[in-house]
Amino acid sequence: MNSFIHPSLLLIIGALILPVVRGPLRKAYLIAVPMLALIAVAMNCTLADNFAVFQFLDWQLVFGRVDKLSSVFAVIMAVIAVIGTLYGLHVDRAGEHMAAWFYVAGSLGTIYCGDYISLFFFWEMMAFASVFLIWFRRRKQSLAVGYRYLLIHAIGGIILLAGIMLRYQAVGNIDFDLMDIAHPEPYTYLIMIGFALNAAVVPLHSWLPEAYSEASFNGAIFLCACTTKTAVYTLARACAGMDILIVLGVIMALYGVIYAILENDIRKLLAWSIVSQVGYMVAGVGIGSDMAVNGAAAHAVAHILYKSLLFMGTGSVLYMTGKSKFTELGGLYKKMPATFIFTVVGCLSISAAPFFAAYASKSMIITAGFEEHLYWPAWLLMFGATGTFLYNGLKLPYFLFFGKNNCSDATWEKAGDPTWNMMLAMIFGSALCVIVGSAPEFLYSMLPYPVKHYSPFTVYHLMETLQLMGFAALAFFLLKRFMEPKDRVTVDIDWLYRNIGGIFMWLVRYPIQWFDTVWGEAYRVVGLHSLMSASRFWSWFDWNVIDLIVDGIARTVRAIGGKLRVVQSGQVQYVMFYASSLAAIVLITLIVYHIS
Amino acid sequence: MTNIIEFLQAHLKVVIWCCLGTLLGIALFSVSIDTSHAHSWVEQHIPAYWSLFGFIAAAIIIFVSHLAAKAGLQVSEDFYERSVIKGEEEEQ
Repeated sequence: MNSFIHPSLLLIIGALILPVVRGPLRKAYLIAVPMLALIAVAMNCTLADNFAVFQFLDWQLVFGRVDKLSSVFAVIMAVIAVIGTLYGLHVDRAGEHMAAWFYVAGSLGTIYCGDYISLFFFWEMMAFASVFLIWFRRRKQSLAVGYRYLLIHAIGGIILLAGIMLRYQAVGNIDFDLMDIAHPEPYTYLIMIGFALNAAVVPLHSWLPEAYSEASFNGAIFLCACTTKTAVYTLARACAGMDILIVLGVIMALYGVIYAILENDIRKLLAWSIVSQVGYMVAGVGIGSDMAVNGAAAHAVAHILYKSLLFMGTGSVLYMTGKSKFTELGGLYKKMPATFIFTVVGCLSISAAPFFAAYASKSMIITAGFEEHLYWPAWLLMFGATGTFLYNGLKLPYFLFFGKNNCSDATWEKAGDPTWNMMLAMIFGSALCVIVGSAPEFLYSMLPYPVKHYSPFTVYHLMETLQLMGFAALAFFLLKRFMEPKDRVTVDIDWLYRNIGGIFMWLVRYPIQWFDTVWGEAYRVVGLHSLMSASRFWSWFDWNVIDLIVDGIARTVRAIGGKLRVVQSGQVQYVMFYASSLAAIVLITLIVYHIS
Repeated sequence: MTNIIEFLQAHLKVVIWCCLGTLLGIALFSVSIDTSHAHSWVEQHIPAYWSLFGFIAAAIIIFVSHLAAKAGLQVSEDFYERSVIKGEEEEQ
């Protein structure tokens, strides 16, 4: 069988049917639908062409562009649909699963599409479906956070749409392919910015830490996987080789490190970590060489695996204790030993520890930087990698599972390993992290370009990693008092747009309101008085001049009519007399006029 | 698992010395490996370069973060809520 099956269609139909599937069938159905989507994606991997092509008005819509780049991203999105659904299997709110499936469907639709029209449709589907994963947290602030998230993504969508329209006007097609980055036009940058916003490129990133830390415990699994990595895919597809992405990627990698180090909320720390890790991918896309794009794709796959595992570990803490701050947790290894082990696997994976996921991917991007003689980005990315190990490999497990026990009695009482399905999802996640890190050949075979002359399993790379991690750990234990989590939040660029909103409200409330009041008073005093005087004059003029003329004419006509009425007796002899008299008068007048 | 961790915690000094010994071993072993194919001069010529890099980079990141927090990057938890509540009160 070699026909294309769109996994988004399966997920969307599955989501629409879900509310009517109740009782014991619900859980089986919840597993079956994403599994079918995964099977469809796996079968699509054997294909290589454009499928599901439709003519719409003047455009050709391509819903199924299958090549190696789209396949590798589609596989990992489908895998996360299975793991994420399994993790939240006990959640009985159908709406939450529906939102998650629509969200993954949007992501898969974007990955498989070959034109900008269908891309925009699936792009917006992602934004509108994912916001429900925030709202389903149902906290007081969830609604506001969700609206801010939606607002930012709507702005990003408008920028993207503007780029798409300008591009269509310039080149006359809607093909979603690599743009002419050697001769960038305004639309090139608009499209890049639209994609970059979803990739949380600094300074367009503030939506991510706020939204992902506020998502429901299972919604965060989908959120951490789909939006940013789909954006990385679109950047790799359309903007590979744009130099500015190297700069932005490096800034992201370092910016995320500083904020993650300072963060007190365990899930917000992971969200900052996404900003940092996506920075590596964005830099890889910016470098644009075969190895760099391979590295970006491989790191996206590894990142989705370990980040979802970390969100599952911290989500388990949140689910069981109701707490997510270091200052309210600590020492949990005694109560949550299995969760501790899975989280540590995630921590080692993100830290690129030997034989764990990112070991096979992160160094590929950095090596590509060195090979392209981009030394400063490569060094800075290495510097950032040290930071990644600090906050994720050391700070997170140390202050959450060891360190000072800040748990209240109630929190400690509630702490424990979570339900079987959550554990099973974490087992799968952990296993995949170890498999990708230990035997990356399968992953490498799926990458867009052939992987030649690269292996992470060299003695030099191994020793480099062990030295880096070992001595960074030494620095951590010597200086960890400077990293103690505090009950404080970190001000970010969102301060700016929150304040822009505040400034707008202040402007409306004070100067604009004042101007409106003054204008109203001036109108009442000056404008209204003038208008009343003018009205009174025109009323007088109408009454005494217009009416006088009109009424005078009417009275004159009536008087003449009265006189004429006398001659209208109705008798023929009088009529003939008047007519002949009138004719005689006219004749005499003409004769006199003619003679004179 | 819990028992192993508690055992290690009970023998913390031994654990620390073992870790330091391992670090020293890694650093010494790194000197003996071939660095001729490394990408940069510093990797090729400075012994145990990545040990130094790891320690210094971690220390810099910790201090920079600490200084940034002190410089005003970290604020009280109700920093944003205060302005919202203030605004709501004014509206009432």
